[in-house]
Amino acid sequence: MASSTPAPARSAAPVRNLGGAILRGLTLIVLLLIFMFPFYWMVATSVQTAEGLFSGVKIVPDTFTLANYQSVLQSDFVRINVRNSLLIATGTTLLTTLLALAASLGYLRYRYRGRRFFSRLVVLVYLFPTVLVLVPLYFVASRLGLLNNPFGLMAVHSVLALPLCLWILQSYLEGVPREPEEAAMVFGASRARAFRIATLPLAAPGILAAAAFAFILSWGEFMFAFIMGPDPARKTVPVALKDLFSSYAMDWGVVTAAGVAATIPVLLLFWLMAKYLAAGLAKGAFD
Amino acid sequence: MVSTTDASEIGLDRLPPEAGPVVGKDRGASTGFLLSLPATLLILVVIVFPFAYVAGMSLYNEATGEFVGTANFRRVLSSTDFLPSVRVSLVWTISNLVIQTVCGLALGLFLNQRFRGRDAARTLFLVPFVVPTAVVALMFSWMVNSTFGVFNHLILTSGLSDTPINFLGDPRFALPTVVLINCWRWIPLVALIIFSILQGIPRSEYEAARVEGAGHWATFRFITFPYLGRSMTAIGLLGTLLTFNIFDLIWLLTAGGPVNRTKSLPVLIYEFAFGLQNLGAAAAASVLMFLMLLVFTLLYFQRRDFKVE
Repeated sequence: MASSTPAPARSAAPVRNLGGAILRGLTLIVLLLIFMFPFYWMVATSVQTAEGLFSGVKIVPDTFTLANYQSVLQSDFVRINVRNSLLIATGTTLLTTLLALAASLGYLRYRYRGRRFFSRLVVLVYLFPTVLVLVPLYFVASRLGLLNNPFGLMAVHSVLALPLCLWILQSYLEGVPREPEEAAMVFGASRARAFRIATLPLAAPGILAAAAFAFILSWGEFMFAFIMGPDPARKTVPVALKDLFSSYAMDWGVVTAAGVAATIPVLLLFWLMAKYLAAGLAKGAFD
Repeated sequence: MVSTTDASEIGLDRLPPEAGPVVGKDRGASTGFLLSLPATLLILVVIVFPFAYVAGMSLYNEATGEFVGTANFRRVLSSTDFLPSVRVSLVWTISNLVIQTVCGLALGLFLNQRFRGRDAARTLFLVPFVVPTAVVALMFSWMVNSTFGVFNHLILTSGLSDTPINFLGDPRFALPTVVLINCWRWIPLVALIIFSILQGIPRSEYEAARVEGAGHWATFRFITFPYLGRSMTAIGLLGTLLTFNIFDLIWLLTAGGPVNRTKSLPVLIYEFAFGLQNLGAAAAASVLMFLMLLVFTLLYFQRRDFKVE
């Protein structure tokens, strides 16, 4: 930056001295160990045989088997629970992304009566204790016969995902240049068409990030899924996991294999939104 | 952004500019309203109306449908579980916030330095947050298992204790254990939010401080810290409420036990509703909890003299 003056060492400068580099490296290793070890441990447990697990704790497993994964694949977990969760998470993703896209467009492109009310209402979803609506939602859902109904859960998950999806989309769309859209309108395209052909492709990473967040949230949501889907045939992945690891006849090899299976879809989608998650949260907090 | 001269030359001045003009009843205004209507309705149906309903429910006997006035509230307040639950909730919220702020700040400052692999590390650190809560609970239940858990293995082999610790089953350890597991999950996110605030501090401020000969500590104290503080007031409120409301992790790890040591208010509400099947009491407890959080939020706004933009 200041090239003419010999800049003194600053913390933000690239690594210059060896001691600092080693210290940073060690800190990073310790931090990764703290935050990544549980995952390693889950995977390491899932590939051990039962004898291996119960012959004592070994940091590096000395037995290897895929039998646990085989039993997970053949169990109701994949046949029923993964299927339920895929259905609900996909529905939630489509619904949330559409609602959030429409609303963020309305919010960014137009000024209308109730615009402020809308943004306040959105923040309210996270400020409001969701456990408080658990009781009435359960009550109403059971009266209306909406218990065990995937659409009820999709609606609830959409509301939970909506605020952050909106913030991710708004902060992304704000950075998308408007010139192409305006140019398209000059050439006679309608507003909707101009948006579709000019802005939508440019906004794709933001839309994907919002969609990935909605999917991950719905896939992992426990509380409402637990209450609103008591029928064993309707249980989602998190609810089934709870049954698995809190049952008395616990086979930790199989339980951890199921845990790994529940984590994989999240990891596949997560990199789409990793960059935008913190930015979206920060945006929501300041609005 | 389109500059006004260019816009008027090609007739674009008739389009609403960036944030849109304040218009009365033209087509644009109603389109904006219509576009946000579905999302608004869904939020109203899932959050706002049910809460209005719960407030009503708290005044009735749900089984017989008769009006009972404050009986549900008296039932909750006289319950021997209520005050201990308030205490658990306070300990839970405060300890989580303190640990997460301190560790998140340290981690955020660390990530703000430049080193190889920083971007990859930032992405990896988010994994604990995005993984399903049930998976987090599963991993830690297994790790703190008193017979086969890796933590007890390390404790026993390192000689820290000669008997295994029952982390989730021992009344002394249950709440601290659940708090630490929750911190494990949230610290990276707090750190990344702090990191993104740090990235937003103008470079020129640091340059100016250096020109004036400010050291590392002075720079932190007079530039970084005030910037963070301003942003953190808003995030602090959000964090407090989000933390207070956590139900799933606690329920999955301990279900409120042992001997109610982890039974926070959300868990108590759940128990009233689905354990004791007393929806009226659950509704009354919900209203009480809402009032507590409302008072807290109002006090917070007043004390911090928050600017609502």
